[in-house]
Amino acid sequence: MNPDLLEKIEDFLEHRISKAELENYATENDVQDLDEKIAWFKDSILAIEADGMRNQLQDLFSKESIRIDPNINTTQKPALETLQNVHDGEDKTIVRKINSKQPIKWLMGIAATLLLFAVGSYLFSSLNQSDQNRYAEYEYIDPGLPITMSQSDNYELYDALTYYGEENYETAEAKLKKLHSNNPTNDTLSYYLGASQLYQGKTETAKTNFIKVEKNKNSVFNDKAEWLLLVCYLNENNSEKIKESLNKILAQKNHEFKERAEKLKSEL
Amino acid sequence: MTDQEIYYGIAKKDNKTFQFLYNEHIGMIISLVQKNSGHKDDAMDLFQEGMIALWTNIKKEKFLLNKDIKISSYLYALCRNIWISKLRKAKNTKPIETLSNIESPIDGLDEMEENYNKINQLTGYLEKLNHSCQQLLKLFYYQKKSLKDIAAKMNFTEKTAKNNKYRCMKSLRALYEV
Repeated sequence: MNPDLLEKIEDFLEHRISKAELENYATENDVQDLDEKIAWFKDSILAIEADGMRNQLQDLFSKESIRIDPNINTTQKPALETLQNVHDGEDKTIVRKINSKQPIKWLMGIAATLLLFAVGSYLFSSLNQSDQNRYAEYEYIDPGLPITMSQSDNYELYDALTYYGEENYETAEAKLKKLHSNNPTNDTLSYYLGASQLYQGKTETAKTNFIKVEKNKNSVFNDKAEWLLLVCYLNENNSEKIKESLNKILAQKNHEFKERAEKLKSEL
Repeated sequence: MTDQEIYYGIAKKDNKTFQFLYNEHIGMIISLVQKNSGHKDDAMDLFQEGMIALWTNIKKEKFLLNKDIKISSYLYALCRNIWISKLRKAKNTKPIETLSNIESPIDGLDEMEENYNKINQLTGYLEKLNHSCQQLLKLFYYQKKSLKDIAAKMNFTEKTAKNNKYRCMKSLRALYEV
């Protein structure tokens, strides 16, 4: 394979040229197994990245305690039930014990004093907070989907979600809006369009999009949309809707935000 | 961290995410290894390979977020399968009943392992390239450095950096085709 063809394959993978342009450029021989060459190129780039990542992990954990922290409990199980027979041992949580040496007791005393002071200051300052700030801790910033760039026609979505991931919600919203107008029932588009709007303070339009996703019980974004809809109501101080949304979330046994919802309910 | 944050973190090769997963799961990986002919020190390597397997499949769009199965379950299952393969390759004579009779409980796991093996095989070819080629390719594709920066770092012109990059890829292809 000549270097020029490699360059063109890379141009194609980076969406700088179309597949037709790539095929036009390739010789008759190259065209025959062009798809295989494209797949190889993509995999090779992944292999280079994987090799770099292996070094990154080695660097990260070389300073770690695999030498090994004797207090790590090695009997923790994964959450999935189907895996529970894979290895035996009791279901415990990893606990890192702190050595209870006498000399640190006085430090703990100082820490307790500082903590009391901090809690006092917090309580005092919170008296002056607006309701919106009061609920700030319930905001959820969705980091976005990891979309990889492929030769699919998803480039526009990739582009929009890249802006979203960079927290450039204004541009993300503009791009997602365009995509959404062509595909208004797509839950991914509705959800991220809503999120882009909410993070800019456009609660009203955000709600419309979250409600769409909320109605789609099969959507992977369903729980998140329900939570962010609740955040919209918190921002609006709409107590009736807050209560309604909270109850809806709390009624679902495995809701992703159930814990936060319980905490919020206890504070209302 | 939520599963979505973990997923995104792995895709971005984010150290905080790796650290979180390590803290949460190294214990059970040590347990897996120790009960099956390995030592604690092997657990770190296994955890690392499990992470690479997950990352590879996220990048290849073969591993998508699943509401019903947690990422940690995938990580554990991948580590377990990688460990079985390692024991088999090492022609381990000790019994491995605790592992060998277990079917993969998660759909798509075999394909994920296959993708990981394929990428590993390609990494093997990368390691056969000369040091300069390895460095250049890693700077460009892993560290995402510009050709201008690479040229400055490696003491050649930007054009040479570009030409060398494709020459190195050509050499990689030649190793693959042998």
